[in-house]
Amino acid sequence: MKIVLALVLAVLVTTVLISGCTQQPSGQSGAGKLTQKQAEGQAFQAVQQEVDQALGNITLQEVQNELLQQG
Amino acid sequence: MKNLLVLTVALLAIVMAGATVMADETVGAQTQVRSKIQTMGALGYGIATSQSNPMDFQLIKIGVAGVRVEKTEGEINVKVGVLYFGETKYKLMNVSIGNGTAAADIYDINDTVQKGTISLNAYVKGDREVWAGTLTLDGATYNAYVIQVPRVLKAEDKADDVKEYCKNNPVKCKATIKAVGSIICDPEKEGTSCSEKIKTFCSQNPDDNRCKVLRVAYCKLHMDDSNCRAEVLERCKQNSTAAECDKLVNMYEKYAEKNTEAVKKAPEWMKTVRNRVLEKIRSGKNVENDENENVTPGSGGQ
Repeated sequence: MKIVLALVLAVLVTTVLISGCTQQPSGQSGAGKLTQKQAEGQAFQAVQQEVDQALGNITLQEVQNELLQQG
Repeated sequence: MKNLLVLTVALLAIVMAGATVMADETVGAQTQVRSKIQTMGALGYGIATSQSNPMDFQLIKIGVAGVRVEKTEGEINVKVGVLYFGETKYKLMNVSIGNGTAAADIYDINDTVQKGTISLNAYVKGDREVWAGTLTLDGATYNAYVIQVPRVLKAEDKADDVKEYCKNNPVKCKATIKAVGSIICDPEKEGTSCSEKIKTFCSQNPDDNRCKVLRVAYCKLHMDDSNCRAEVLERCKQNSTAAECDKLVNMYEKYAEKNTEAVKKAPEWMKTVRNRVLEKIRSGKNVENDENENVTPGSGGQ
């Protein structure tokens, strides 16, 4: 009886551990070295966010007015 | 009773195993990639008009920047950009950001096909910096005009820049602080710990005159950053004799020497500084080499 119980529990513990190990690599960040491609993707997102924040709602009319004002 | 004990121990083992997995996942979250814009080359909106047909024009928005991307396992500095041509978004790759210049190759958003190129030079019109240059896209060539927009920087970002300046230039950092007030700490003796203290101090006291002059000192060495240029430009409007004004105006020379009409329309303070810069050049002095001069206290920057 005790052996069966111990086996069942050992299987449970192993399952939890394996589940953790297999889930981690699929996480958003993951481990590993930063690649040039990954860095470019992140950098592009940062710049795009900056552009959208600073210039998001500019209309053609506003641009024309501003350019005329600047001469 | 023994069975109950075994069961309790086993349950504890399961909980501990679960906790280990959760802790691992938390560490995983900490290795997330972080990015910080180090140099904002150009950020603005404007218009592109076809060289062959002036009635063919389009609203454009552009941002090009040098970005530091960090992960626990490493750090990479890249220069990238984004261009909106009307409603269509493009990626800018092979970006080069100089003192008042920006150029890049234009790619489709999946960055698989090159669609064209863009090349811009900065100049001052009225009270703002503007960019002018050419853009080729899908075989057509356009004249592009972009009005520079200031990037909103947090006190923390500016403090981070000041920290970098003091870490790399402890002697000048100390002299700059002493020129306007008591020293926050001694960057020469304390090194990195002092630059950290200065960062903390300037994050909490962005309007302190010492933090403002340190920011200008940083900007004098980073004129490729559009925000730095904008801050120096504001100072030069108030006091055009400041040493950093020569450096700023010299940067626009590349555009000015090819566009004499633009020079005639430049603000008065700029014409005065330009004459001084040209005189320096004629007498063989290096306009860029003014780093031994301390920042003029004055208004203390923006």
